[in-house]
Amino acid sequence: MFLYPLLPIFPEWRRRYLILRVILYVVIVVVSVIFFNVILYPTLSFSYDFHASGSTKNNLDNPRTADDASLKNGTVGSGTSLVIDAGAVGDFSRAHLEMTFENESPLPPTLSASIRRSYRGFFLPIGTPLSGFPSATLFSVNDIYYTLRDGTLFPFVSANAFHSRYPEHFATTETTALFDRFPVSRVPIGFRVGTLISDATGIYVVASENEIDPIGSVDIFLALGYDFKNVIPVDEEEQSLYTRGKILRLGSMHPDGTLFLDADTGNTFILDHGSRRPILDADYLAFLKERQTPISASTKSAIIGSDCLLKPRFFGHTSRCDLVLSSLRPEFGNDFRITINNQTEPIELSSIALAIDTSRTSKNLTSILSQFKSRLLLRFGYGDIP
Amino acid sequence: METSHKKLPHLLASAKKNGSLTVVFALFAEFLIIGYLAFAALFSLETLLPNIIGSHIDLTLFFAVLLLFTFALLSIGHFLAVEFILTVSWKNPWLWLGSLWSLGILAISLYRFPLWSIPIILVGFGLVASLFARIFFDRE
Repeated sequence: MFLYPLLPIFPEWRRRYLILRVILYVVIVVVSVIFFNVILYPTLSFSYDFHASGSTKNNLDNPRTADDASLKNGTVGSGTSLVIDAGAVGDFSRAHLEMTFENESPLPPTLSASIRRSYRGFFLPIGTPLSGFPSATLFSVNDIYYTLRDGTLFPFVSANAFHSRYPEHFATTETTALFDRFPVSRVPIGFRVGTLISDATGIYVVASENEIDPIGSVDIFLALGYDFKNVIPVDEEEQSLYTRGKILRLGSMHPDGTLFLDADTGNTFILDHGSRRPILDADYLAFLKERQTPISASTKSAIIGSDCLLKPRFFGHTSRCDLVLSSLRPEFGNDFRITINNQTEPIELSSIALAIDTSRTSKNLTSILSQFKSRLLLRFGYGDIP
Repeated sequence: METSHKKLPHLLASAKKNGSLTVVFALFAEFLIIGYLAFAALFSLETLLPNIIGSHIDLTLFFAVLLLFTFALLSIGHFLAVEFILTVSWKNPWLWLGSLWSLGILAISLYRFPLWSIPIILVGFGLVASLFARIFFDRE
């Protein structure tokens, strides 16, 4: 059917018809190739609307100054830097950054912008080193573990919870006579903050003594650098200590207690209250590493950045620039930190948009095809979290 | 206004006479057939992997554009006095292909439905399709 025309063509038009037909098929093939390129190597779009800072459509996170003061109102003072984060998995070639200013805001002739790649937790400043195990007086009575605090015995909810914090030999074996000396609290103690636990519905990170954060999906679990070997299945009693916090997504900050290994120096850090603290004690480090595989990061890689100068566009109250991402290594983190330095007068931002182009590499192709395969299997009820 | 109103039929008549309208019709028809095949392929992908296509293009809009182009093609065909005689023949491979594709899409869409409801849904769709076929293709 495709070899012959659908209608008899006048003889004087036959040659032109064939040429036009070839052109038609070439156009169709070119459009198809472009379309499948867009599907296989997508451009990821991120944005933040300063008029709707609470909107779920904002997938650029936490606009703030370099000192962590919130900039959710979009007002960036003179000499101030705006820092904002995005999370994306893959190997990327370029990013296009666009800032839209309020109508009454001045339009700076240039603004410098930079982008770096690592994990948000690894961007935290280095804090005071951790010298060893948290000090505690520990007991074991009839296979139940207790810690003594302010003259009261607090039970651990389970042996697993105890062993997530301390080795077995730290607990002194006692008899029930201990309870004559100290009262026993009804409030049990759970897992070490940063521990990965799971139930029938998903995997969680212990974010605090009474909160667990669900991890959004298998892909997000892997993108955050976690290892399935570290996940501890828990029962209802163990889980009852916790309330569910916010879902961890791509670009989320790792909770306290997360371990990072600097591949450049060999140092291991633990996140703790806004800093990453080096672990100096070899025994404590070995203990933690047995229970949690440190997430591999790199100081050198986190320092490497790409810069550009935002310049006003011809139309609209916007400025734009392109950033090269090929030098930012994907193996040491999936979080992008964008910093915009305002050295001019104060500016009022309406929105920020970031578009990241996926590199056309065989690795990215394999990765996206693998994602399609997983989604296809899940669609028909096959494929679970390993 | 009156001049431009008369100009279009005059242009079309001239194009029909010199054969260029036939070329346009043939190319347009071929383009539409490929368009419908592309829609079937994209729809199949979307059924298997929801949002893989939908996040990039609006399939409903794509289909609406195909329908509009089909009406335009039928108008040109009417002007060229081209007759389309639809005959349902099981020897036609297109009919087999279309039927297998439809069954596949229905199977993927319905496999999680309760078993008792599947025949009801299929019969319902079949009735609606046959009624539309009678409306569009019945010579009376």
